[in-house]
Amino acid sequence: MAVDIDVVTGFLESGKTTFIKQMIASGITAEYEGSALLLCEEGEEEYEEDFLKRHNITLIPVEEPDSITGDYLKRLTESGGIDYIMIEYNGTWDMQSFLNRKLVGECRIRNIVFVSEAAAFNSYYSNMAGLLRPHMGNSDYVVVNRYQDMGKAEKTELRNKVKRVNPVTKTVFLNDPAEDKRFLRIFTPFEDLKKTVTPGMILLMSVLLVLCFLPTAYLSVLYDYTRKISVSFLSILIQAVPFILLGAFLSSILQLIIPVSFITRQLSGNSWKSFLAAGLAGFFFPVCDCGLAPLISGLLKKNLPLPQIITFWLASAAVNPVVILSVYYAFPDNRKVILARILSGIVIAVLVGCILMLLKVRTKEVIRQDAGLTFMSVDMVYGDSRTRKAAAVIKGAQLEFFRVFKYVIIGAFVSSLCLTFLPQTIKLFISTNTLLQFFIMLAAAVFMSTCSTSNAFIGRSFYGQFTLPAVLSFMVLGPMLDFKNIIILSEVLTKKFIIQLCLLTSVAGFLTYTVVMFIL
Amino acid sequence: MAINMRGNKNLEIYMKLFTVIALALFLVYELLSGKVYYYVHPRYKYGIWFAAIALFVFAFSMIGELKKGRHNSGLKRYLIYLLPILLAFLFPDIEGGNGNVAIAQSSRGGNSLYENTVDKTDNDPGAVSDSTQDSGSITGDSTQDSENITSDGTDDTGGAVIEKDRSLKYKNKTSDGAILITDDEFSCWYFELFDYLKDFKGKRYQFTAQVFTSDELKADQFLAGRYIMTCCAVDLMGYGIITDSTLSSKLKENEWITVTGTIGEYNYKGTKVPLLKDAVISKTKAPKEEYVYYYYY
Repeated sequence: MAVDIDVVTGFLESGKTTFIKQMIASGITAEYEGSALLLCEEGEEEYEEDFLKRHNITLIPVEEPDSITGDYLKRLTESGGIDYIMIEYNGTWDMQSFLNRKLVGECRIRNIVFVSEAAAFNSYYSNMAGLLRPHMGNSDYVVVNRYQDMGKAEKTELRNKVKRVNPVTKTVFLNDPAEDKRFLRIFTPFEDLKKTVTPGMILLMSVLLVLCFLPTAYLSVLYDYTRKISVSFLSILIQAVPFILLGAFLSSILQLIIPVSFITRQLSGNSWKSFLAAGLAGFFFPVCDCGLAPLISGLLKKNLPLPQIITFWLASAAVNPVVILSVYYAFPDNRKVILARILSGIVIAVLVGCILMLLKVRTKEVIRQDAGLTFMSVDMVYGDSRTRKAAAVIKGAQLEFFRVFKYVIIGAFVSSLCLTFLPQTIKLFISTNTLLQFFIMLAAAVFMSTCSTSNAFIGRSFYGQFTLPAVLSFMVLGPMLDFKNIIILSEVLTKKFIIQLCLLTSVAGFLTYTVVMFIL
Repeated sequence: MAINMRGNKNLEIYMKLFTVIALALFLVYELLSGKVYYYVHPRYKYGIWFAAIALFVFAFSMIGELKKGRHNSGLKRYLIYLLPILLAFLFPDIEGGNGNVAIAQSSRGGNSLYENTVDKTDNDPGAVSDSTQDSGSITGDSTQDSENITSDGTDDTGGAVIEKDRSLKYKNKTSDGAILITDDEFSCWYFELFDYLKDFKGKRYQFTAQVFTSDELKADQFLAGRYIMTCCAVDLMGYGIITDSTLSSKLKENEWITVTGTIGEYNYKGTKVPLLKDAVISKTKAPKEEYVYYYYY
């Protein structure tokens, strides 16, 4: 029969012993023949002898972290009558090396619970992240006690912090485990909770059930549409993958190898000159906008001055040589279009950048709290040797890729949905009103812009029904406001700031549009 | 059994490894089978090879982590990375275009001839409704502007405005005297045809095309064209030239033909577009690459 092992971990004075005593008192050991309690730490709170005797528990002090091996645990269970082991683990011992050891025999780790005092949590989280991470990341539950003083917002923040370390770790606020019956269920003997029916399974079953009764006549239309969506989704994705990987590597190198001071010096010397530099820097990154977005998020995480980065981002498409070339080929004998495309892009970018600088928006304020390669900085001890550095960069790039690719997949999916259904709709709203034309093109920029290079050709197909300045605003604003780029950026930037940035860009775009109307 | 599931195996790394390898193999398969060109322009080829290699490097770097123990690893969040592969499996037949068919717009705003602005508005038969009149006058202005610019530019040399004859680029001749447009040339030729119709008028061309149909054409007309990709499948569009042929009704949609015809002029919804006259049509096999790609040259 299986031997359940529960691990309760947490730092000194976190209330582990109290927690374990409450657990035992609530009867979790009652159904086992005999239990062992491995004590790795002597706290202030102690286990009274008669309490242990009453619950048939053998207390075993452990001095050395290395002594808890698979063999040791096996021997313990074989020595007689023990089919449950509770480990009060020492919070300063390495959890990773404990988990790295192979368990033998019938032993299995059932639950790991991290116990923390509410007041101490934040200081541990920020000061001892390296030590804390393996403990919390491997836990099923984080139990927070003495939480009376916490407000609702503080609780949510703490929950999010735990989620950042491991998205599936749950957080409970408990002074006594007996308060929460659902929490206690994970300690029910001989039961594998994960095997019970989950909401996800029910959902899947009902979807399958509905599919059985679907009218088949409509299916071919549905199949056609999904096929179309699938093809455009995959094409956006395949096209973006090389750039995302490139961006991931660049951003990893940027964060691990290049010192912050170097880039900061390049960008923030003389503020006005640096805007020009940021505006023109895109010329040297002749990649698609979807490849640039991960790079931008990397730069932002590095806490570089925001206005310049935003300027660089917005202007990159305008000065990108490949884009200029594509405009040239889409409008072969109208040189003014090319010039207008470049200039209006730079004007909007610098305008938005300057406004951000005048408003004194700092990078820290607009960056999402959970952004940043937190895993990278603490988990990766790397020396000066080249191979170590290379390994660190590869690992960083891999983490970065997984972070960003999720957003790209979502963005590409939404984009492909829009692209399949919107073009017909947009044609319905064609109007000669110049104001309306601008707004239609603005909407098209958000939802129909695929890539800064193909924008010129898509724009060309609008030309005829729309005036030149309107088409131009589609080409210019497309890469700036494109839905999937926004989603990628939302990985680092706060929602509030993204909305502000989009509004700002649209207003700047509108101003430029009016000016262009007068000139052209 | 359940025991293994709940042991301290690092399931998360296994899942990641699987994801990365699956994505890399997917890319390699698409590249080797040539299917990738149904999704993206061939110029992305090297980038996609790089991506596949980078993903294999990731996989290699993860092997060392397999031994690390792990408890309570969430696997569901990795499912989203497999969505592209799932879709590729579910919808393997990606050939045959997307059904979006169009006749090109001239980049000069719907009028492709070097005519006088005044002349144009007089002749413009499409100026029936208010909206077309408006757009006509707007485009008229812009054409005039661009003409001013070109004449400004050439003032230094003192010569008159002589535009290069765009049709001179295409020199491959077939046996019966028509000019052969290869697949590589098609997209460039097609768009230039609409922009500089004057240069091409009266010349005879031969090319491989697909049959597109449109409700807005006459009974004895069809569109001879190709699916053109500029960046990826999202901008894939079947572009065709209106072709006069008595065979029209017998041709099937998307059928492959070799068409030879003389460029003429046709008034389509108020704009002058090229027309393929005296067309000779013969059936042919589908080419190796179904789509044509727009190259910047």
